[in-house]
Amino acid sequence: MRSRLLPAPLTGATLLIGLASCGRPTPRKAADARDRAASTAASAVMVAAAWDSGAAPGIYASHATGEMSASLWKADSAPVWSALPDSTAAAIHASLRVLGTRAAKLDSAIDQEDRPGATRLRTSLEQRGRELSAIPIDTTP
Amino acid sequence: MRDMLLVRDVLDKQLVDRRGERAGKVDGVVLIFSPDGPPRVGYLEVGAVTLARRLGRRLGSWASRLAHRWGGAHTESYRIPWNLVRAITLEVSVDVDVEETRINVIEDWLRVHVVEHLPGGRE
Amino acid sequence: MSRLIEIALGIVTGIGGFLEAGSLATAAQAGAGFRFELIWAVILGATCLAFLVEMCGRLSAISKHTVPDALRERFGFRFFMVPLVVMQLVMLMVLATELGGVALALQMISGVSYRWWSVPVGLLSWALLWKGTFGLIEKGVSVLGLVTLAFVVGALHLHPPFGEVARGALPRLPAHDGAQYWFLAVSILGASISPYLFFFYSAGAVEDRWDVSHLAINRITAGAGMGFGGIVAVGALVLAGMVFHPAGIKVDSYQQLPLLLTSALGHWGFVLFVASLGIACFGAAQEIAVTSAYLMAQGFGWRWSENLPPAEDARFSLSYTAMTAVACLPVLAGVDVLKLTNISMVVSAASLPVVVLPLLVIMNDRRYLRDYCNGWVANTAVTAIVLLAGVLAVVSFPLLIAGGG
Repeated sequence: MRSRLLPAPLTGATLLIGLASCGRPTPRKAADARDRAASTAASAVMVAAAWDSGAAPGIYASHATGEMSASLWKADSAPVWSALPDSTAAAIHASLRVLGTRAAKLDSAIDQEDRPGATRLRTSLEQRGRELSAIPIDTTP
Repeated sequence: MRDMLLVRDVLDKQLVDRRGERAGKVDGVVLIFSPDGPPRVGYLEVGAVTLARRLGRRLGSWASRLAHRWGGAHTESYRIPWNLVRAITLEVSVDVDVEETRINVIEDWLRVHVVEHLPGGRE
Repeated sequence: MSRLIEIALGIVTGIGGFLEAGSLATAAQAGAGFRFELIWAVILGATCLAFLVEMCGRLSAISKHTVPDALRERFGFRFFMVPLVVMQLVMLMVLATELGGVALALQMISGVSYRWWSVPVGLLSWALLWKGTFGLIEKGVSVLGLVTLAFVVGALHLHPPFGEVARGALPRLPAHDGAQYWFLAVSILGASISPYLFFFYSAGAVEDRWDVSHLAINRITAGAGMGFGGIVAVGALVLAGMVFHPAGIKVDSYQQLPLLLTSALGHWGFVLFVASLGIACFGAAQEIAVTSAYLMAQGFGWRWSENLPPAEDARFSLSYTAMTAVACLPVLAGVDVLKLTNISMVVSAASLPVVVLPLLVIMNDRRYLRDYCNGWVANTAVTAIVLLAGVLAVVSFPLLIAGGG
């Protein structure tokens, strides 16, 4: 009997996973995505700071910021922003593009051991990241 | 003289040969029906074909066909006569030497054809 | 070896072997998302693990049979197929994440993509199992795993507010993000209470030829070893709570994790992190691969022992060989290791009832345990764990969808 009880929840769960992954964009999901992008930007800032203080080696810091830049670019092309009003979506797209570019430049700066350049980019990323978090998204249904 | 329940105490128990080596688990118990006298326990069966049959008739016949294709001379599970059983505790001790049976035929084949070809396999 | 040394080694093994990819990743995500609010989940997981491991050790010491042995012998082959198939699938997923963890550690210091490291890491893991003995796996890597104490040292270095940390040890309802909170709670429990750990521990008791005289060591190793091991995971969680949470950083990649220790310990922090991640995951990979072979060999009655050369237990040895080879593939293909970790922790949590419910029955079977059957304390504990496991099995997949990733 036990062996028959187990497969049922698993099959049901597989269906649920399938359905959920084709979820429609909602303002709630957009807010989560915005927060995750801001978190990625803040992580890149922290990685660069660790590199600057000598705690993290360039190999790691460069790779990590590169990945974070790719993640920000990916967020820019995500369909989730379609749930928002045009002006908000435009602001977010602009912000993500800038963040993605800055993070990529940060990656190069670390690669080339350009400390002043990296510090400038880091400060800019931190500020733009905070601006992204501050873009208001109305999640009330 | 204590009672013994075949399924509870014999089936699926670890088989141990006369040297104390593991010789598989009891995959099946075979009863013998004869016209004169009540059914009695005839053999213990060890083998993948027996296991497959316990999971389902179709699986069993498929395993049997595979065994025919690959098994050469031996296509059925190995049978240990009941009268070779020496003790039944948490394990079933039998008076055979596993090396002299074909219980470990797959083990031996894998050792010769795979393990010994891998680095460090010949020890 | 004197008993005192055995006890010390047992505790060290428990502490050094506790942290691995799953417990690290879930602790870091929990700390980043909810500061100290989920410490209770780590403590609950470690406590349940301690009880279950003690039982499995006692079973093997008294009966000289392992948990997989007993699962088939007591419940029959048809029943045994369920834990066999379920556990092999879970172990395959978790093994892939551990190999991924080692590969990521190597990527961090070399710049070479983790995908390229998957096969070399798999080969090394296989080679150590092939040529090594049980003692090497059990003690060798676990003692090296003590490097993970760096998380405790790092956490203390940041002077966490002990009042708040202590309050986190008490279970409470989430103030926000309920789905994500419970998803992480389930993942943490899935990471701590891993069935492969009981199978490994029980096989180890037979490999080390434990008997009645080892019951005290068993209890201390299980209690102190797993208990203190939990403190390492709490350390990682507290670090994440102090480093990531204030900055609004959510953990969505292993790449962020070195920051936990660099923030606390500077350059040494980076070295210690990479060493911790690499060693902890490598040790876990060894354990899981050999446990998958134990499960096969013990279920089918084959000859098995890590102390035997592979030529003498070919099916057992080739089992972990095949398992390691297959587990390299997802990492080679470039799977997102953190996503795989989250999924496998939840699947592991959901699979618990399949193992703990039979264990409850076995631990009260006089044919196995003679006079050492569970007392009322142990039975209460395992019954509570069975109920918890039931809840986890029901909620884990919905939570994975609602709160995960």
